[in-house]
Amino acid sequence: MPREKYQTLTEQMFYILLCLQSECCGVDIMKMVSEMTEQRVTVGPGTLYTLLDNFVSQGFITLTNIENRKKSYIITDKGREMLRKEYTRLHKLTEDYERFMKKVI
Amino acid sequence: MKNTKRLMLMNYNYYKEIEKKLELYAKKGLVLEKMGPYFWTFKKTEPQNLKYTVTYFAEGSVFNPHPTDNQQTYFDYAKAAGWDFVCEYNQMQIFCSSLENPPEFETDEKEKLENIHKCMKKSFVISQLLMLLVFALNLFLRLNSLKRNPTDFLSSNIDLAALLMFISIILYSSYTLINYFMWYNKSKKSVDMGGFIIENFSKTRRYFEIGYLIFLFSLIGYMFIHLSTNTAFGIIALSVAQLPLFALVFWGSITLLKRRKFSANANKIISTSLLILTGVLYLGFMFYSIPRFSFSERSNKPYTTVGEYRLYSDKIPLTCEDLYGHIDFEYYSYEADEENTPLLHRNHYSQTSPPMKNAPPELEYSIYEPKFEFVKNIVVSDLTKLNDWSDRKLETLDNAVFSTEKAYAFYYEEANGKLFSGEYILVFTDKIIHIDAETPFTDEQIEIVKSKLLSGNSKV
Repeated sequence: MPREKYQTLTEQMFYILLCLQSECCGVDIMKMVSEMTEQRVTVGPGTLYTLLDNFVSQGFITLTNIENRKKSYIITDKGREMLRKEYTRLHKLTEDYERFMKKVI
Repeated sequence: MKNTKRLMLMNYNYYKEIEKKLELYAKKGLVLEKMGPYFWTFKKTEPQNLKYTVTYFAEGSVFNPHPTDNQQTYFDYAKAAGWDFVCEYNQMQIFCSSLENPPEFETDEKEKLENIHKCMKKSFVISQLLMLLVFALNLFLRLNSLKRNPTDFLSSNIDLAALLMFISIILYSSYTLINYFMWYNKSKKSVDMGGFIIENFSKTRRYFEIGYLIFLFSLIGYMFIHLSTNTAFGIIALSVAQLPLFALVFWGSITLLKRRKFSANANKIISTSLLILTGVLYLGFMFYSIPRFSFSERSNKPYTTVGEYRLYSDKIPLTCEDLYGHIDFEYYSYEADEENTPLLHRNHYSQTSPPMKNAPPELEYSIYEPKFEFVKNIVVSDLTKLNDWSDRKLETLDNAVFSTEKAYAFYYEEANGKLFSGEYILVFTDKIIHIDAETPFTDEQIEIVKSKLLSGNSKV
């Protein structure tokens, strides 16, 4: 998997990592993301599986428990750092937006 | 309600089209139950409004005894989102939902594309490349045969049809692969720009694919019909039986081992080894049975036998009797064979005797009628080719002798001069005659040859 893929996060990646601040299983993540974003962002089951699989292999999350095929995950330090980086980037975007728009108006 | 099977000639990556078709079938009361390489099983029910989604899972395999743990996790996620697993074949999995607006199965186009590509690289691309390799090897062997015996090759419908088949399969496989990679690259560009995966299906492509399949099956059908009129039934039966037999052994083994819960790897190794073993044994059986049961001998012409030698009594335009006068010999075999291809029409005649002491003279000749100038050049060049391993040489004759465009006679260099063998190549505007008598023709015999073979109607 090319490294540049995770230089920024998509909305779905962002929310999945956000959900995994505490231990959570895949099915719960789908529900949480929908609730958290008031249905604005949904993660399809196919995408969820692929992203969780990729996040584990990238070391962003780790598998904590398997119970009756139900796999639970939690974010790692590397994942937290990635999330923080993305937050800073988004924050910078909004700051730039506000500064620029003030000038224009 | 009863089950029904439908032929689904769908390319592995036509997922959108498969989804549309399954939804249409469900509306007509046909709900998918099971899928296979070509025939899919549907259950007849009341018409239903179902939504389908086709996904690809890298771990999926026809050798898996049951869905893997990861697949089960995947099914659980799908179920939680309102999608029920229907069936799988190899890496393709199909889910359906009775919800009016089920959530999208894949919500990230980039991840979806990469996942499809990962699965395609593992199965579709590999199988197409393998097919290309096998048929390229076959094409190489055919072309080699064309190079070695161009005249025989160009006058054989089977050889030409096989050549055409190999070329068409290679072109089609290359087209399929190029098409796939073009679709992948275009889709990648699109999703990188935040867009969607490109639709990889068009009606024109579908018509082209169906047209190609019709062409391919017609070609195979033609080859079998041609073989059946020229070859004994036994060979046809043996050739036709091998494909279903191999399929039965391979799929039978996979199914049985899956039922016995063998691992995917063990199943793959055992089933593939069994297939190879069956292939080798079948080849051995064919080699053993064809000569033993005289399968290879043509049986549609009347003949008598002398010992093991078959005596045919076909009509031939020029006989030894024409050339040498009355011959008191009752064991001559007169044979005439004709093969007409779109490139070359060939009539082959022979008058031979069983091997014996003081055998009477024999005669063999072919009349070629090329349908194109380039074919004529190839045939002349092939017939006049001198072999390194023989000291046979070629002398150009005066065209006035046989009223030819070009004429050649073969000879051997002897201590006391040239020894002509009685073999001639006579090139006319519209035909080439290759005649092999045992001794050079006298002036009188030349006139007989001309009157029998060149009088405008040399056919019998």
